[in-house]
Amino acid sequence: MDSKRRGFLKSAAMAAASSMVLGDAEFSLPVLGAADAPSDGDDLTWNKAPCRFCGTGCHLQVGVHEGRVVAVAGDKAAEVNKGLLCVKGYHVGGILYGADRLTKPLLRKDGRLVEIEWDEALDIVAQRIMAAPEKFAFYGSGQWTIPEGYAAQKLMKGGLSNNHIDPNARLCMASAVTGFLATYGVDEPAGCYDDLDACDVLITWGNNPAEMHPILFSRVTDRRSRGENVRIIDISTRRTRTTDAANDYLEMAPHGDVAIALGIMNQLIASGTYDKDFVEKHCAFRALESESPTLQGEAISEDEFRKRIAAYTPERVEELSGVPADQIRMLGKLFGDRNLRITSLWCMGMNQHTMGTAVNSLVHGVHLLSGHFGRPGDAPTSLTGQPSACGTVREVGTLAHALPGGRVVANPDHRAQCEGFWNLPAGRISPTPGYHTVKMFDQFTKSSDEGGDIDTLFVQVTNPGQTLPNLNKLFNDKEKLNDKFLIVSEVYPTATTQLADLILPAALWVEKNGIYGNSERRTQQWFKLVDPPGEARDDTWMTIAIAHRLLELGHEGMKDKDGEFIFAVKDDQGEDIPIWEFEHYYDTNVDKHLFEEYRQFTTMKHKNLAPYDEYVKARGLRWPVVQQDDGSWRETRFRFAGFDDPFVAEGEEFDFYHSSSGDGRAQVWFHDYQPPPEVPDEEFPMWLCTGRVLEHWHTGTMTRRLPQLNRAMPTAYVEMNLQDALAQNIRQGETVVIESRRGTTQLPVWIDGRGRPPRGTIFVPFFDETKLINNCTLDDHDPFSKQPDYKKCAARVRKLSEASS
Amino acid sequence: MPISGLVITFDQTFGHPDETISRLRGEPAIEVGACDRQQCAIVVDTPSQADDKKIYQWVQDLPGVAGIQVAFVGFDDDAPPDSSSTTDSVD
Repeated sequence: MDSKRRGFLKSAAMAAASSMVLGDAEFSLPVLGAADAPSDGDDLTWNKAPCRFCGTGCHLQVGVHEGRVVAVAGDKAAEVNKGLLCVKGYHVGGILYGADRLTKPLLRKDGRLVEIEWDEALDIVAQRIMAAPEKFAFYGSGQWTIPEGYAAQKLMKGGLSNNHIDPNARLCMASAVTGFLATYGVDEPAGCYDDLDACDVLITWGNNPAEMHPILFSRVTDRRSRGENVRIIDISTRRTRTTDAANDYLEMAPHGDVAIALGIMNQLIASGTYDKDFVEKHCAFRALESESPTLQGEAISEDEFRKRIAAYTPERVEELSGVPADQIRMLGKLFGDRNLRITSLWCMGMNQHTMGTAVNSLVHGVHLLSGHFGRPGDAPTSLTGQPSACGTVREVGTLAHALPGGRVVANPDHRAQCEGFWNLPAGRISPTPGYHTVKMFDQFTKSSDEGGDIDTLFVQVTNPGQTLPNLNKLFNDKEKLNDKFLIVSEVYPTATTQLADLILPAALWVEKNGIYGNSERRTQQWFKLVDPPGEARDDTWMTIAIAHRLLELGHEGMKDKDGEFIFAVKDDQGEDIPIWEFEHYYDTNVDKHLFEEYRQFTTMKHKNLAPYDEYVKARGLRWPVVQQDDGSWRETRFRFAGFDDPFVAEGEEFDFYHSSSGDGRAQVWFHDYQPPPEVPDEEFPMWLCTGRVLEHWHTGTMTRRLPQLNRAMPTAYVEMNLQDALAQNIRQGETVVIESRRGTTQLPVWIDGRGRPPRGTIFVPFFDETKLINNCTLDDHDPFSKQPDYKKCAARVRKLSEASS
Repeated sequence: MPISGLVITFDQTFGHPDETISRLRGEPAIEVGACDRQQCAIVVDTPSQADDKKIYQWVQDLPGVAGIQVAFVGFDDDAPPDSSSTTDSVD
């Protein structure tokens, strides 16, 4: 690095740090204007982009020199992170430059991967689809950009009349979706991150934001450092870094969250401290049908609700959850106090749960019943783990049963609307939901003779060979099946590419245009800043190029009802721009064309988006975004609340305008507690919980290639309680074998380490592809969301010497 | 060769941030910027990742330091590549 640039970087570093100190004497996370962002120097240019990692949606300033990202700074103009970044975020630029980037298409021939040209690769994909379109499936991601997911959705449902498209977000937040739908009739949080700046009490439900969403958690800890009193209550199955910051730690048994939520509602009813006025005006009661239960359930009376909830006394909840009855009473009192502002946060702990829909609905119910809803600081808020699980999966609807904008394939009106927006002949979209993730991989890894009716699978922007549960059942069997064909678009070799028949090298993050949607309904745009390496290319381009090959092969579904290519983009003269040829892909802004087309879908569920160019100017906008009389575009912080939501009629305090009961009311649910599908026994006596760590993002494909992060956390491990280790004569650092009924993996032991599980519980992070804990996890899933439970199954720990003897 | 812009947050109950700031000024790899009773901006410029880590740890252990937040990082052009590849790709 020459001294001139070094000097410039030091100046930029000092400017960034100092402005955070000087920005606001009262509030140490400064809010500065866009003009205060780092300015271009003589050899660096700066541009905005959201972080590539989690669902928080922090904004960065990305410094580029001679076509290479050389610096990253927190974006001071961004409301989400106000200039801050976490340890992963400030290293994000390095993810582009791992030594083993995939740069050429690779085809497996005679067991070895050999380089081929893109032309051949596209022909192979198109011919596989053309041979049996109904046996093709597309597996996508909450890391897809909105245009990537939208293009995949249109290809599958609008072009191929095939609904076998599902994302990895099925594995991380599908239960949050069903919880919102069951409660409010429409998906995604009513509140936003502003709640963290206003709450008096923060309850983390099986959630560890200190490590998984550190910037959000710092908004709360920062308030404390300024002398504000914020009580943090951590409800968890093991102690974490969040526990370290908490005032109260309530250690629950696995599945105990269901009982705890029921216990709080019991106390609100028993003591008469529930919010009678709010409930009377804005809530209805609901429970599952006794036969053939549905997500919508059936209405029950308040008396019936009272009768059922009466069974969940603090003492019974203590038996079910392990949390002392007095602590349940304490939670009941807190929620009964209307002078407090209470925010609940949750993520995988409540979602990766065989009662995921139920526990999501119950926690919403706690907030509704108590009236801790709709005022800043009073909010039940689920967080997402991926940068566009909300934007691309939940809003674009890249799920097997869904269509864009909150529509579903089973609804004939919704199909007709989509066919209208896409100018397709009537009846093009199939009414039958496709395979959800677990079913999709089950069908792909089952031989055709045994009914495995998916024979070609295209994976984009995700790594199911590491993240699927029960890998020996759902992924590894593919290796033996010669008639199955796995196509993987990736940036690096992964556990998934190990079994791929065709690998397509992909552009990553600021190597392409993009739009993400974060956990607080914020849509964020960025431009391509550097070229991808070698022949790596955009995922959207891959989808469009495959569609065009199918058109060339004569697939009628690739034409709209006027005979035009379904992805046609015209120039000013009305001529086709050949965006399916990569050399012409950036002749226009394809993202903008796709986004403007997608915007039409967003108004039905009041998730209105602004024009693309508004997002170019902003650091994201929270939908619904509506145009004002003066032509400007206004975002919404608090949905359903009259003081902020433009769709609540003037004078109304609240309106749940997509209420499933059709009367503007939200549903307070009752669900009976049910035990987990597998519990420890004599043979497998330990609870196994899996999850993430601060330094690595999900499967580590990106962060394991950053030397700073990989050195800080070089290997997965198993957290054990000291007494459990002593009982088995297991030493700190010793390699042990973790076994379940489904598989095994070997891991070093960490006793009383970063996380501290209670006796009888072990925890293993899933970031390490050399130690696949998902060999052991369960594929049992929630009946409505189809999301598997990665947080609890029965396992045992054996010393290596015992396991090998 | 890492360059980081950091913000140190002092513990509210700590009464002597000036002493800690003086110690920061005495460290050659650190340049001290804007400071108040609650926070202090610094730039750390070190010849290697290992030195950077040492300095970070040293700062973290100083009296009254409640936390360190990262405002900026400059990348090292010469950072050694690292791979966790297990795929049998061939050229």
